[in-house]
Amino acid sequence: MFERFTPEAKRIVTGGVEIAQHLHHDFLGTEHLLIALAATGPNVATRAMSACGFDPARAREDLARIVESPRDELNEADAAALRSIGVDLDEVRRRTEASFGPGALERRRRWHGRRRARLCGLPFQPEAKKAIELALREAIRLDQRSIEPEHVLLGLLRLDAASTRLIRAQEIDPRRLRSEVERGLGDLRRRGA
Amino acid sequence: MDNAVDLASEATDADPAVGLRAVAALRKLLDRLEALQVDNARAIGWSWQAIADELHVSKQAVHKKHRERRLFRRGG
Repeated sequence: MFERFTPEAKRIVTGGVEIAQHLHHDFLGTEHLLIALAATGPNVATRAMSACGFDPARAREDLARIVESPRDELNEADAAALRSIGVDLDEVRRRTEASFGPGALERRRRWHGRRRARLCGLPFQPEAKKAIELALREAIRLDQRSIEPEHVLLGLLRLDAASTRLIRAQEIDPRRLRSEVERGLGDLRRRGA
Repeated sequence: MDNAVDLASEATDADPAVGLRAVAALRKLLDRLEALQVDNARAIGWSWQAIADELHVSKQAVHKKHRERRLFRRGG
């Protein structure tokens, strides 16, 4: 899957895994790829992100605040603690599931249970996999033999995923970021020609 | 499960470790139930104001607390 990635583009994936692990997330998603991408360079992708005012530190904070980690799940220790004050978690779960369906008390993403490709032990989220496929497609569209960070960014920007939500959270229009990348690529081509 | 029974009987000892653990778990449960109820209310067309009224908080507070989470709720 990553054969045509340049070393720098590969660092987006390995860096993404590190960020996910650091945040105690048990999956690799587009949000981790985006933040790892911002840490590469400087390159066309990071220059476009800066030009749009994207703040990677803020994105990381947003992510830590919003996305739940396994530590946020109600576990057996919580059930025991609740029992000590007379709250029966199983009964609460039974009632909420009766009203809202199975897993109502578990808010984490449902794709966890299914069999998924893994990277460094982390399940590779379907949207993240799609972003990688789209990066390849962008490289082909731009007539490039290898996949650079800017192709990964263009791939991410084609999705409506956590990564684009992190971008929008900073009042940045993903389409504007996209045109900044295209502009940067145009400058590169002109200089190369 | 034996642990749970022990814990339950220890609760009357006013041990802060046990009591605080219960408070933390209750907060987790509260957050979970609030998110569930807010999502459901929005899904069936409740306004943020109506939700805020029931929760006895300001519309701004409920919106700030849940808007981001709801943005990220769908996978991806």
